[in-house]
Amino acid sequence: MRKRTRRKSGKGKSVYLWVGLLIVAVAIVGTYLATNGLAGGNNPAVSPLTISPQNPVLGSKTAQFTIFEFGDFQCPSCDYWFKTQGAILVQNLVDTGKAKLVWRDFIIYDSDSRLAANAAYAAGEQGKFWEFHDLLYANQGQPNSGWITQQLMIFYAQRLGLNLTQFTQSMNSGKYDSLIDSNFQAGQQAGVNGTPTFFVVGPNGHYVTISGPQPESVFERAINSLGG
Amino acid sequence: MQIQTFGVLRRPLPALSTFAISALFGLVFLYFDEFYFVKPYFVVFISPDRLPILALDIGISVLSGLVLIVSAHEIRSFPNQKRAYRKAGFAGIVTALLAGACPCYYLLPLLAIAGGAGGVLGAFGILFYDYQVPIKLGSLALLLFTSFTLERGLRAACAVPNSVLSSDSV
Repeated sequence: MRKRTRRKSGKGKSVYLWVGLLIVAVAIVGTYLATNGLAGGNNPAVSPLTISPQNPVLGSKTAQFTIFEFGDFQCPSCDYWFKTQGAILVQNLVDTGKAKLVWRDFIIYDSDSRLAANAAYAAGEQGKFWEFHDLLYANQGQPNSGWITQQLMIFYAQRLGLNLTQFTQSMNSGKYDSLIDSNFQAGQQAGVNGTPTFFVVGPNGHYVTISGPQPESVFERAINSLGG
Repeated sequence: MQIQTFGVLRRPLPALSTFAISALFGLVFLYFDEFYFVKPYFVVFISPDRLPILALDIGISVLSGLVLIVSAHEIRSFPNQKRAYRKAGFAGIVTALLAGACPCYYLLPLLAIAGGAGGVLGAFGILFYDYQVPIKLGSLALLLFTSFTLERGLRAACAVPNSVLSSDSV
């Protein structure tokens, strides 16, 4: 009888232990969210990112704030952000002259992403990088499904009224491969571990990292926190 | 007819444990599905076109917690029952963990970036991403089936044997 009671209370204790462990786990996650999330993530360090002449820039080059976007033309989250938040951000921050948007590749999908990046840069030579960028996202297919083809890139170039000979030569020349690679390296060094990742850099070089397809309000808040 | 599973949850300890497990699963799923962000600020972002995925995530989280706790309850409360019921309890735990783990394919592309050997994992991650809704529906169906099996086990375990009923009537 005594044995049975002892065994029963032992079982009860182990259940309490498990529940206790679960509650501790929830508490840890909650604390993480509270300290890393609610407190904000301003980085006091100076941004390692710079704008090279080859980086496509949207907006006024003299804008105080710079938003670097690391993305991949096959990335569904980038596409989702572009379709839901991109236009709002451009309207509220870029068109108002508050910030400029800089595109940097961070290729995490197959070689088709490289082809798309080369095509976009080739369009950029004729002043249509952002239009090409928008076309790619507006018509994005399933990642790694083979939807990015040379024919499609040429078709888009044709739609944008580009000089097709120049576009095709440039796209196939591989001259942007080193830029694409250096963008990836810069992203890795800056701590990018997924796409899209944004860096909002203030006039003093301090920056805020925004990972994932976050709402436009977060960008405005980041700019305000950097003195905007 | 009373649902036995809800009977298990009437006691505070299983109810609390179910809530804790469901909350943990939910936090993980909703984070990886990018319904909320923690950096640079805590922000919740739900666009109307992603409501079906949100519903699936919540459904899987709640059912995972429920199946885990009811399975543990079945193993613990009916040690002298037929092996089949105990087996169902263990199967329930494994199913809940598997069904809960399936939607975590988001981790795979991250591993792919982390190292060169992660390329294959990355490809799997992308494949899973394309089929995220069917995968989640599959997980949900598996959990619903397990819940049903566990409920049947609980009913069988709690049923008064016919022999007792007939002796009472005499």
